[in-house]
Amino acid sequence: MAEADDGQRALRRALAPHLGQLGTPLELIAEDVLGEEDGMIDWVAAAPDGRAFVVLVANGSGNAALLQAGLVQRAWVAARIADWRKLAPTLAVREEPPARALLIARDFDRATRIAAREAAGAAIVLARWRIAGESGQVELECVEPERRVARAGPAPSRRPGSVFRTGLREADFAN
Amino acid sequence: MPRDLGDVLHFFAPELTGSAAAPANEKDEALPLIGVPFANADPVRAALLWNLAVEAARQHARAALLAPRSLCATPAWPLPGRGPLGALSIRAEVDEPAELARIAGEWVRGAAPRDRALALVALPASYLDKTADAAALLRWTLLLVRPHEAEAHDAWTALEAIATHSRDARIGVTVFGVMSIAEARDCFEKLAAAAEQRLGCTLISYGLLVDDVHLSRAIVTGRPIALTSAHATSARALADVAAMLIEDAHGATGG
Repeated sequence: MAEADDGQRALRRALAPHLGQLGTPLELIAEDVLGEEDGMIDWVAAAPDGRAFVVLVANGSGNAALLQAGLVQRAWVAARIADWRKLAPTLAVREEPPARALLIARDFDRATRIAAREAAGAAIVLARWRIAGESGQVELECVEPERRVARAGPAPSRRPGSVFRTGLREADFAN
Repeated sequence: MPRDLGDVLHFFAPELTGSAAAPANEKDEALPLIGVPFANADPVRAALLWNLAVEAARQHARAALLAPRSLCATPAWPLPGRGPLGALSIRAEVDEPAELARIAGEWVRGAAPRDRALALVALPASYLDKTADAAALLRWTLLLVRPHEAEAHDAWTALEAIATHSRDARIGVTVFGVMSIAEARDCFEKLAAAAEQRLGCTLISYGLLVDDVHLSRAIVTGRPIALTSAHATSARALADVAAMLIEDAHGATGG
């Protein structure tokens, strides 16, 4: 148990400097916050526009339990921002725009990605961490939402004319 | 006396006559049936295609890989029958393109649910000399292209035959055997520019596939990459290409 906690802390230390790789600079406001149902929130962070981010980090794969915790703790934090701002008016977080949950894991199964999309739309951000090849550096990247497939319909009339398409990134070829 | 809709429809709608009635070949056009030309019985292409079918099945498509007997000799070709995740391998005991087209069409029409069917049909090079017989298999094609000069000739021959036969053909290209995205993009863009300039046709990119150690392992063990190495780059590339094909076959909305 203690080893697992140490591993979690080590991973967090490695991830913290790289949160900016996800496209939004995040200011860490609090660490190890005891949230709803005595669940632990790894970080509460603020985006430049004041949006609160509830960050949960998983050492392994992200699953339904992590998603549930993200939704629950996001609600818990959102309900307290106004009080926190009364106590500390200079705090970087605001009630608006609405808080988001940022879930970071080694990977997410498809069901969790679909559930994240359906449960809360933009309120849930999924990110994947990985150890880069020889450097051993931790890298972070956003996980694209699972595409929603329509029940039926004709082939799209607007085709991407001669434009190369791929969902891969150059970093995928690094190893 | 019981009546069905056909008995009363003319009260509400004009009779279908002439051009208003959809001819059979127009109906075929909408079938999610993708012809994949093979210059020879290449085991890498065969393995990539089978892995693509399994990945499409993993993404909840009713996927089938069909091939005439002349292409099934390679050991990388899956045994006939239902494979992992329900992907179906169909060995058509025919040599004529029209027969293969008929079998593929029948499978798609009988697939349940049909709105998630996807048939990948391997086409021997000889079929490209009989384009009239293979019409249904050439309306939507996918060229698996390596950026090697030696293979450029085969790719161009296929492209020329398809584009010349049908001006409205949907011609897709997936690049494989590359070490980077830049290499794949370069290969696709060169081919697309030449196709546009010399054949007047637009190519559609269906990404890239990776033939790495996971693919070799998949060939040797007969276990698809999606099941054995789900997080490998080759698995993610397969997922990407399969998603694009399913999306173009059946439509999709942004997630």
